[in-house]
Amino acid sequence: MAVPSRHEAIQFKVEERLHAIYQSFAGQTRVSYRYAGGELSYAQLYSRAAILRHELANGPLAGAARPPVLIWGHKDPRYLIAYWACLTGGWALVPVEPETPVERVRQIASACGAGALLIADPDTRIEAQLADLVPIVRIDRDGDGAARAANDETGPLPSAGINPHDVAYIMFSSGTLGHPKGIQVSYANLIDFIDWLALLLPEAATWQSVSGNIRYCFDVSLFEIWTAWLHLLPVTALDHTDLANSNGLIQRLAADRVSLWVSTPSIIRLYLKNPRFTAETLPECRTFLFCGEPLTKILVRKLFERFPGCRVINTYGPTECTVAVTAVDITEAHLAAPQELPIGYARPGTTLEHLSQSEPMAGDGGEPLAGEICIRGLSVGNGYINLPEKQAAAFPEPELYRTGDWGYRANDGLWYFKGRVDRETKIQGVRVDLDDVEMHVRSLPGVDDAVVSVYSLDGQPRALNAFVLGPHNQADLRTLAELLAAELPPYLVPRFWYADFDVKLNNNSKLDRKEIITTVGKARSRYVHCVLAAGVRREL
Amino acid sequence: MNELEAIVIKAIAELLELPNHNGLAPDTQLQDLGIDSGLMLELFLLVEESVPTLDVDPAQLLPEHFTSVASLADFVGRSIHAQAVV
Repeated sequence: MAVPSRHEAIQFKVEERLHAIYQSFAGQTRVSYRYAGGELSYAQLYSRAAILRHELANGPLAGAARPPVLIWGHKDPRYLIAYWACLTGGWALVPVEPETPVERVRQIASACGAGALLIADPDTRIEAQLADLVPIVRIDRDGDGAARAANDETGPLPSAGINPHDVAYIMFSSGTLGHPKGIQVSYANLIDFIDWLALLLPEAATWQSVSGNIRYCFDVSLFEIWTAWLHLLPVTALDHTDLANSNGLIQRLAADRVSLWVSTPSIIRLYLKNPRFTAETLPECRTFLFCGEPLTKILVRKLFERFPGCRVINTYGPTECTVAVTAVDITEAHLAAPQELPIGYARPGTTLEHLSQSEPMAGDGGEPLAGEICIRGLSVGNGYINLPEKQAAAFPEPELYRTGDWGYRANDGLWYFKGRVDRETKIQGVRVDLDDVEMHVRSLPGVDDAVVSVYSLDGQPRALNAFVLGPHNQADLRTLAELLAAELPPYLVPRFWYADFDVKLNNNSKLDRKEIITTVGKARSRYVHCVLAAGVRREL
Repeated sequence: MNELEAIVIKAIAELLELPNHNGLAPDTQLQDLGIDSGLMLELFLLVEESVPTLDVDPAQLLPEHFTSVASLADFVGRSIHAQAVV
């Protein structure tokens, strides 16, 4: 065939495509980044990245081999300078948040064979702590001048010899003790994602600015930065030490005329608590994109109230498959439907399927068969660093990834998430799937989100705890428990119900489930659902 | 608080792995502690360890015996008493 397939097109052009985007920054006076301390223009981003790339290529990273590079920083503009230096230099970039324990940074550097650590943060203490392990490069806050940059702005960018399958970035996730799991995503994967982004958000051409809510160690941030870069828009960076200062961020979003909001459902739940978070204050904020957690109906209803006519996009995907692989615009019809909100349709170049070996299970309420969601196609990344067993289990074939997520596809092609395949537990010998129970609790009226955990005594699972967001008092909890008891067998109804606790977000801006579960004593409302009288005589 | 109530409270704290007895009183409702029928069985075992002469006749058990710490202690007391009388 004369016309190359999409696959072939991406395979041949990764470096050219990146260069085209990068070159569009050159000499561009528009703002690329608005942060607490100031602004960074696209021209500065371009030239400072060029200088840094040059310094790295002629310094610590000189040589043919292109090792990964750790970027140490939070919402500092230097992080983005380092990002482009690495991306165009062909060094796989590895985001590391400054709050990462040093020991963990060491493990990450060792696991990926890092060639350098770039400090993009005011706090440079890590330098002394890691200097023995890896060359450290401090990026100056202000840069040292346009004069040197001028040379880089003329002439074509030199090729780094990047191949499509080369690793563009590595995200580290928990992994087992002492062995963080490095998830590799290739240049071809990244280009495929960028192409999808352009299709997903065509209205970006008319936007003024986009949010910068997500940490860079969490790949959902790619929705924000790449939307900005494709359309030369500024990012309004949210420093997470300021997360609680919702008034401050809302003011900045208004002043910057932010049009796109990207976050986890947990972050927007916090902001919706502020009555100023409305279309009146933020008239340009018309598109909300969510990823990383199940999106709940109660949140979307609130958003539709606060921002009438806004676009709400739900997306889903594992880091292993380049940020997200499905998307759908949430409508009133989705809200009215009996099932939970859909996670979307597969994006171009990617298909979702059930693995043939897995046995799909019939859903309740006439749902189609659910099974483990498997992802096939251009979004599927290179996989894990030096974890052959995990690699073989999760990536049974090239361009196929087993998510470990449970879901089903409706007749219209929409996918629905049902939970993880591996949170099944046994309570007194009875199989209980915590995700299943969580999903049920989440579906109860007034419940915004829920975490269900096991209540153990003497190390033995005895009952379930339910931590719910939405209801506030004991009477609410009692109602929920009774509703659920009417719906589920007793062993699936949580015994201990908690509400009105302080919600914390983890590093990925998701609900910190572990924190919620371990601070059980701090919930201000508690209800115990316990049917004692009925059973006691018989059992005794 | 009488001696039997103290015994019941100690047993409950042990059963539920509570760090202390704070929050447990004669009027504490057992149901509010999440003590279901299965746990009630274990609670009896623990109380029996402290009260060797306890001899419970299942036929005597009524739901109202298990509403609070006090009612349970009262039932325990009468079970001991009944045995002593026999």
